[in-house]
Amino acid sequence: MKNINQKKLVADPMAEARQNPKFLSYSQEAANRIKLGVEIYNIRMSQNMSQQELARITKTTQKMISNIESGSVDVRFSTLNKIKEALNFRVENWSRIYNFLAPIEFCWVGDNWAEENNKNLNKITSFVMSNEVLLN
Amino acid sequence: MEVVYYFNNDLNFCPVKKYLELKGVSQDKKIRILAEIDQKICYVRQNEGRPTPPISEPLRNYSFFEINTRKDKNIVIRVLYFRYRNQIVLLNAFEKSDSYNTARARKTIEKHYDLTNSYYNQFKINPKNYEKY
Repeated sequence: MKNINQKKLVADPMAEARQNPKFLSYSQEAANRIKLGVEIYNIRMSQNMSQQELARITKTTQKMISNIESGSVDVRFSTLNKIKEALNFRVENWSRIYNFLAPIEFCWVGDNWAEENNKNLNKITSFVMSNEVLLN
Repeated sequence: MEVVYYFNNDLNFCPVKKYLELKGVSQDKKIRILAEIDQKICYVRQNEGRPTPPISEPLRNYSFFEINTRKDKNIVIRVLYFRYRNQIVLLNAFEKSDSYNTARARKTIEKHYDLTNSYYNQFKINPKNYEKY
């Protein structure tokens, strides 16, 4: 007699896909596209700009902007450049996309400056050192 | 947070799992699409399942959220989920055309939403109906 309560065995396509050697590189590409899309979306929203407006400035379509923001397409360098100009991208924005430490702006606050900013100084030192390594 | 597939007792399978088989799609494209969906689910998990545009968005009149992923030039995959305690429950997935201006196309999408809503209600009655993601 058939057991009708038995769960139908459906293989997990996601688990199978993870076994594929290309899955990891596709995932990394997707993760970078998502980070870029989220950053573009956040800056655009902070400037109260619509997708249509950004599309008009960058001479592309609203659909393209929507696709870029949702991380569904690889952006052409020329399009990215136009978006960067239109939204006035700063180092902090790139640092969030590419996971690097942006230089920190600081000024003299008072006598306790050294103590208060000790952590910042450490960050700056490590940033300069890592850049020196890169330059060398 | 844990991500789980909603399991439907009447169908005897998980609707999202079934959809992700992506029948008729070439192997390479399938891996690419699944990698993107997986990353978007990871992003949603990092944000505790909250709808965080542009990756996931709330739906008007419904208690669940959607994650959109492009399948083809004119077709988008929608994965619908909701938060339940410490779980992100993947309820349903379907595809829609970019231009759904006809009444018939709109009706089809509404049917998908209504079906997902019934899955949502069923899960709330029996929250043990799930499989691990």
